[in-house]
Amino acid sequence: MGRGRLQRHTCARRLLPLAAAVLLPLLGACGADPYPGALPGELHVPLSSAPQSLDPIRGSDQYSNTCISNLYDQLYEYDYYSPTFELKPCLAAAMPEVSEDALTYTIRLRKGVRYIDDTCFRESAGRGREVVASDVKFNILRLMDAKSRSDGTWLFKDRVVGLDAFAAASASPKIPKNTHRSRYDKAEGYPDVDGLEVVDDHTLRIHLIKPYALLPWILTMGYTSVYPPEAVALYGDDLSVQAVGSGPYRLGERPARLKHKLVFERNESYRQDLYPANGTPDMKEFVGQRMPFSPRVIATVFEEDQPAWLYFLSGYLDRSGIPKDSFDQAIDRSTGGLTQALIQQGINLTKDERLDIVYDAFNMEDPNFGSPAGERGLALRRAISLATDVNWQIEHLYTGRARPVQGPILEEFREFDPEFRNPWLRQPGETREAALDRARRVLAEAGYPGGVGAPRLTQDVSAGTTGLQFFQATQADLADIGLKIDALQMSFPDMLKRQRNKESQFWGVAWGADYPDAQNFFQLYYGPNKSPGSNATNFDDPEFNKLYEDAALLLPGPERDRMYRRMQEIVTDQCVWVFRVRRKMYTLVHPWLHGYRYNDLSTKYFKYCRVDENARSLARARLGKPNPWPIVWTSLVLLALVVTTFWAARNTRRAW
Amino acid sequence: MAGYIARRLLLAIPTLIGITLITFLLLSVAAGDPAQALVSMKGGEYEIEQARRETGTDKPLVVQYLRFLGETFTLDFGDSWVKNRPVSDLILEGIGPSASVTVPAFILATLIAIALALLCAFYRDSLVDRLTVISAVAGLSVSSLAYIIFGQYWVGYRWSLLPVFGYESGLHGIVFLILPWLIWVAISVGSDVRFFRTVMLEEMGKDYVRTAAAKGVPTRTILFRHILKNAMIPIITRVVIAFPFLFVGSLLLERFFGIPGVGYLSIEAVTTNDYPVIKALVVYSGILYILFTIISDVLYALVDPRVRLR
Repeated sequence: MGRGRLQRHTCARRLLPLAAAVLLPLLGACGADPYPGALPGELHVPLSSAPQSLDPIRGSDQYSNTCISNLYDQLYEYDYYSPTFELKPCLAAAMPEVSEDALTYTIRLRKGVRYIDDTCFRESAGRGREVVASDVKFNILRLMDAKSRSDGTWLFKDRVVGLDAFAAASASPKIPKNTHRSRYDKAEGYPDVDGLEVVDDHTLRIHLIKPYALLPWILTMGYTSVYPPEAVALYGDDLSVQAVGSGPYRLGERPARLKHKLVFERNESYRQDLYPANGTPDMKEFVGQRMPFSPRVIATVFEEDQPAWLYFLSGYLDRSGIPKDSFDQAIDRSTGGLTQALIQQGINLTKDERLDIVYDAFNMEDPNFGSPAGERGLALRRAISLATDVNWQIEHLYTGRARPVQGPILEEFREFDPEFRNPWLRQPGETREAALDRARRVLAEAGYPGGVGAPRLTQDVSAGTTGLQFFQATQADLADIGLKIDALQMSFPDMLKRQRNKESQFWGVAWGADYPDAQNFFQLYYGPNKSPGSNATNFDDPEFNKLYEDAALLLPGPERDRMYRRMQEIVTDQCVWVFRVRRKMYTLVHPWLHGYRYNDLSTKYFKYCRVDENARSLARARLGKPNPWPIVWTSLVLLALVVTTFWAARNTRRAW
Repeated sequence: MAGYIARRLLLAIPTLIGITLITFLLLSVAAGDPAQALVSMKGGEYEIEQARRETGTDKPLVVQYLRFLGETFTLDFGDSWVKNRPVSDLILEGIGPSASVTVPAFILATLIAIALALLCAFYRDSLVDRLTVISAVAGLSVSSLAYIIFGQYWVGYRWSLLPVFGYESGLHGIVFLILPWLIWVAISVGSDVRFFRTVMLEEMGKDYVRTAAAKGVPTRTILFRHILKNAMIPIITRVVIAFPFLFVGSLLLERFFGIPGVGYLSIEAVTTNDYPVIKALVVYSGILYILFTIISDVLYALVDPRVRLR
């Protein structure tokens, strides 16, 4: 037996200075500012998810597209502040010259526009060369090259003379895969593409198989960005983390897997691009001044809402959306405006309609709910559409940031008919109970009184709480008319897989327009696009298909408007989709950020933004002032605990 | 010992083949055709067919498996299907950020836990012991997400003491790592203290401790030279086996703090059906696990001369 007592020893005395030597500099470096060494006027923006790639041919997700559109220029761009999504020339010198038969587009390029300096330009010792028409041709060929595996091939499929043959030939196993390919030689087996005619260095002529009125819009997209073949030759697949363009910004540093943040630096050799007269009112004095304004843009990737929201509140992001869980912190529900706390910070709120539709889709080949079920299937779809309480969803699940949508032709499209009402949605002035009565009558007439005998429905639901909340709302709605529904939760890729295999029965999804034309929504109902194509509903109606094909040959005009409206009648009457809502984008902007406006089709906004550094610095000094007291108190408590423990130890007798 | 290590390394080969077989069966047989999930909603049959060809999933399963096996033994898993970059580059880029969070935090948490466990064991059943155990259990009961949200809100936002979010490589980036380290320590120290305390208590009850005390050996010597050394085998097992997981990173911390590490890469690969990355991560993790198991066996022999490796 012995007496145990912790002996006083010198270890602690040795460790304390060491700990102090390590901890004190660390504490000195502490502070919440995540941008040490920031440049004055630097723009700080969030990205809600990591971009998959900076390679233009892979820019399918919104976040990649945001980066690509600010690093590269395209032939055309949206007039950023135009509410009607007008186009204007970007790398092109003017809008395209279209032949009378609408089969030939002649595009003239601006002269003297140069790429950024980069080591890929070996012939000019790294100095960026001029953008020429053959680059555009190469870019389109690379997009369509089967071995590039771009998912943007749909843009030009069945459109340009000779391009489909090129795509087919490029898939041949005889041609080796070469990610550094900077030319498509006939000797290697690539056919000539007569539809892409390089007339001279500054003129490209595109010959179409059939009229393609959407072409100028297509030429604004990230997929059709213009870049030099030399960059592909040097970087190959590494273009996913490199960029050699002629856009307003260049990559400031090679991003680490595109995961955390991307730094964009102003392209000092950017072409003359002046701030437009139709910009925001706070930028009046900058009209006609050369863009881009911010010397550097830092786009931080936030996969979670909370850190992004806290960053914004601290002034470390210049703009932000409103996370669902922070809605009440930002918006006063009684007024629909900002809360007092945010008003006092001078934050501005903008509300913009998104060019999208959120809907529930039926698999039209399903034996119980699709076309094979005939009138009974149709009755079930109509009843489900009538029973869906969109208004409740808007209030509770969208926190008011959405409104009902009647059909696939949105207000911004020229074919929009304000008088049109989807007959199988709750009508204006109709009570919820009246809509449910209509749904019950439809069911009873189909032989399912009170839902008795009706088949059970299964909905594919995306993993996560939001998907489940929407499912539970649908479940409650259908229970009101006696229908039963089950959920099958899965990841989005798995949902896609099931849809492609025609295994899904019913699922909810949102589709954002790629360009301001209802054709972008109608292609989702076109029979030949059935699964595994974009028409995941497998709707295949001869009248609709004929109208779709005929309308595709027409330029916008009264005849095409009539066809579009008839197509809308068909799909709403057949209830292929349960039309739910189109969403609204609420954006919060700090008072020091000028020139920003949300645009649903264009993410090329960096160049328009200007930061008032004085205002931001003052606000940050106020918002981000460190509070040392919690450290002091915590240290004191810890010290007290340690002292007490050692005191107890010295005075404790214990047996081994 | 060399013979033992050589035998263990040889035994790793069938283990690795087993890992590849199970992984392949799960991914390529149970999960179905990945090409359908790789092509976006805008693509059709043509694009899916191209994706199959380019990813090699149009080949017979046996050919696909043999290719995977070849990749495993050359450690070259080709390019990511989603990011179109070499998988090895993606993983190498992620290891640094992951390790910069997990390794220092793990070492700190382990040292704190061992110290607290020694203290608890020495003063077992006293107020100090009870308070520490209650705190450890309470700490264990709180979700790790709660620590993260609390840390970001109070320490980062309300008190402005540390950045809410972010990552920078190099020494000047340490300020971004302090909060994740503290949160890691808070999350893991509770379970470690309980485990180590049990180990220490078991050692303290042994005869050699009582004998040493009876001989008048100083308490410090008993604690640090005898008890701690003899408690090392279970501690080494726990610590060494944890190492492979440190390189895989911490999913939640990486996601909430924007740390471009391996943890988030793995989840991203799973959600996007990026099979080359998933396969590489599974194989690398398996290899690390096997290696660290061998290392822990060797360490047993080093700390305890009674252990002989044959």
